[in-house]
Amino acid sequence: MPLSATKADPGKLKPAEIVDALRPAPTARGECLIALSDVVKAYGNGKPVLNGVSISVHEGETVALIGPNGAGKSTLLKTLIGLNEASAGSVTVFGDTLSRRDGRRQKARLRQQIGFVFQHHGLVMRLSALSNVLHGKLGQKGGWRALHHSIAPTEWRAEAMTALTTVRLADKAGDRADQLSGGQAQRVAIARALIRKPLLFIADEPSASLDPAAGHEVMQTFADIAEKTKTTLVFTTHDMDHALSYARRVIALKNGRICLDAESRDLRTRDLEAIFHG
Amino acid sequence: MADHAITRDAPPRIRSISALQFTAFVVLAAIVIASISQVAPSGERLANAAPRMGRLVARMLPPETDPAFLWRVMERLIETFQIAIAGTVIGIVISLPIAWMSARRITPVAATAFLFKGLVSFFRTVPDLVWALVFVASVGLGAAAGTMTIIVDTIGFCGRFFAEAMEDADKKPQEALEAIGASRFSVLCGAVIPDALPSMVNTALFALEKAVRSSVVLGLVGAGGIGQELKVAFDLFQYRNASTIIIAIFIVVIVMEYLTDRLRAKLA
Ligand SMILES: Nc1ncnc2c1ncn2[C@@H]1O[C@H](COP(=O)(O)OP(=O)(O)OP(=O)(O)O)[C@@H](O)[C@H]1O
Ligand SMILES: [Mg+2]
Repeated sequence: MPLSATKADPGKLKPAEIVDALRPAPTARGECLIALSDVVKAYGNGKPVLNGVSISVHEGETVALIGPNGAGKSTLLKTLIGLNEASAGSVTVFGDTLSRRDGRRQKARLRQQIGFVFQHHGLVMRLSALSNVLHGKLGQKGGWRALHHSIAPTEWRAEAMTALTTVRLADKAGDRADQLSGGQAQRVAIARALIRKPLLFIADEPSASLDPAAGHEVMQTFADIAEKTKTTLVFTTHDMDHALSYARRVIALKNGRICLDAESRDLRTRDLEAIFHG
Repeated sequence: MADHAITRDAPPRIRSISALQFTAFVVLAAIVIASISQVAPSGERLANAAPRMGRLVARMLPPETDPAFLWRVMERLIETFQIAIAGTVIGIVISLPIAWMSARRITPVAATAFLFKGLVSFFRTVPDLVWALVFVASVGLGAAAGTMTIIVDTIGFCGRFFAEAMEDADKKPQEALEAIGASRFSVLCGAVIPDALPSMVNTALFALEKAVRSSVVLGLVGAGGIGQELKVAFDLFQYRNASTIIIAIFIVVIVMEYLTDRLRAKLA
C-alpha cells in the first residue's frame, strides 16, 4: 500500500510505518534532476561537438558550465531540453529519458518545468515587458491567453507583475521591449522564466553582452531566486569570477569532454583560466 | 610619363568581350529593332492619327455634368470601392493561413509548404483580367465576379509577401517560445506576427491600392464597377460621358494613394 507522509494519519499506522512516514525526505543532496550518460552530439555529419559527456545534477545545486568558444556549452544546454537531439548516449531529465520518438507534447511537458534563458534574451521586441513575461505561460493549458497582457487572466497578470518586481522592473511593465537596455531586457527574460515556477533554471551566458555591473546584477538576481525558491540552476559563463561566486559547482568542457568538475570553494580563478590556455 | 605609369594597373576602359558575348549582343539588338519596326506605330500612322486624336478629344469636351448621370457615376464608383474593399479584406483573411502554411521554418506542416507556395504563385502570375473573364464566365456578369477576382489577386500578392515577412521575422524570440513549450500556433501569434506586423500592414495597404486600380478596369470585361460604365460610354460613342468617368477615376485613385501614403507614414 503506498503511503505518503503528508496524508497518512500516524494514529492508524503500525510502528514500522510510522518510522517510514516520519523519515525526512532525502534533502542532503536532493533528487537527481539531470543525468547525462555518455552523450555524443554531432551536427549533421560533422565531427562530434560533444564526445561522451556524463553529468548528473541534483536538486538544489547551482552549477556553472565553462569552456572555450565552441566547446559545446550551448549545444549541451539545448540537448537538455530536446531542442537538440543527442546522437548517442542517454539524457534523463526529471526521471524521463528523452528519446528521438518523443512527440511535441512530451517535450512541451518537460519544458514546462524548466526555465530556459538564452544568451540573447529572445524577447519579442514590439511587445511590452509585461506581455513578454506572460509568454512564460504559453505552454500551459489555456496558454493562448498569455499571448498578450490585454487578454490575460487577472491572476496571471498579478503573477507577471510579481516576477517583474522580483527583477526590479515593475515600473517598466508597460514599456516595449525595444525600449529596454540590454541588462533590463535580460532581466525581463529571467522574469519570463520565473513566472513558470520551474524546478530547474537553465541559462546560457545570461551575463554576456552586459557591462560588469549589470552582469553582476543579473547573476545576483539569479542566485537570489535560486536560493530563495530552492531552484536548481545551471548556467554557462565566460566570466570566471561569476562561475566561482554564483555557483557552488563548476564544470569545464573542452573539446567535447568534461575536463573539470569540482566545488567552487576548492577552486581559484587561476585554476580555471589554465583551462583556456594550452 | 608619370600619368601613364599610375594608370597602368587600372582596369581598361572597355573590357574585352568574348565572341559569345558579342553574338548575344547582336542577337539582342536584332530582336529590339525587329520588334520596334513591326509593332510600334510608324511616323506616317502617327501623323494620320494626330488629327483623329484631336477630334476625339474635342468630342470629349466638355465633360458631361448632367446630375442624373453624375449620380449614376457616383453609384458605380461606390460599387467599385465596395468590390475593392470586400475583395481585399476577404483576400487578406484567406492569405494569413495560406502564408503561414507556406512560410519556410514556420509552417506547421513542412511537407506541404511548397503546395501552398505554388498555389500563391499561380494566383499571382495569372493576370487579373484573365481571372475576371473566368469568374464572369462562371458566376455571371456583375460585382460578384469582380470581388472574386480581387480576392484571388490579393491572395496572390499578400500570400507571398506575408510569408516573406514571416520568414524574415526575428528567430530568437521564436526559439525562446519554443523552449517554453509553446505550440506552433502560439509561436506564430506570440513572436512571428508581432515582429512581422509593420511589414504586413504595409503589404495590406498596397494590396488595397492595387485592388482599387484593378477594380476600375475589371468592369471592362463585365465584372462590375465603374469600368462597365466606361465601356458603355465608349461603345455608344458617348465621349463626354467617358471623359467625366475618366476624371472621376483619376480623382479616386489619387485620393486613395494619398490616403494610403499618409497611413503608411503614420504607421512607420
Ligand atoms: N546548429 C548548428 N549546426 C552546426 N554546427 C553547430 C550548430 N550549433 C553549434 N554548432 C557547432 O558546434 C560547436 C559548439 O558550439 P556551441 O554553440 O555549443 O559552443 P559554445 O561552447 O556555446 O561556444 P560559445 O562560448 O562561443 O558560446 C561549434 O563548433 C559550432 O560551430
Ligand atoms: Mg554558447
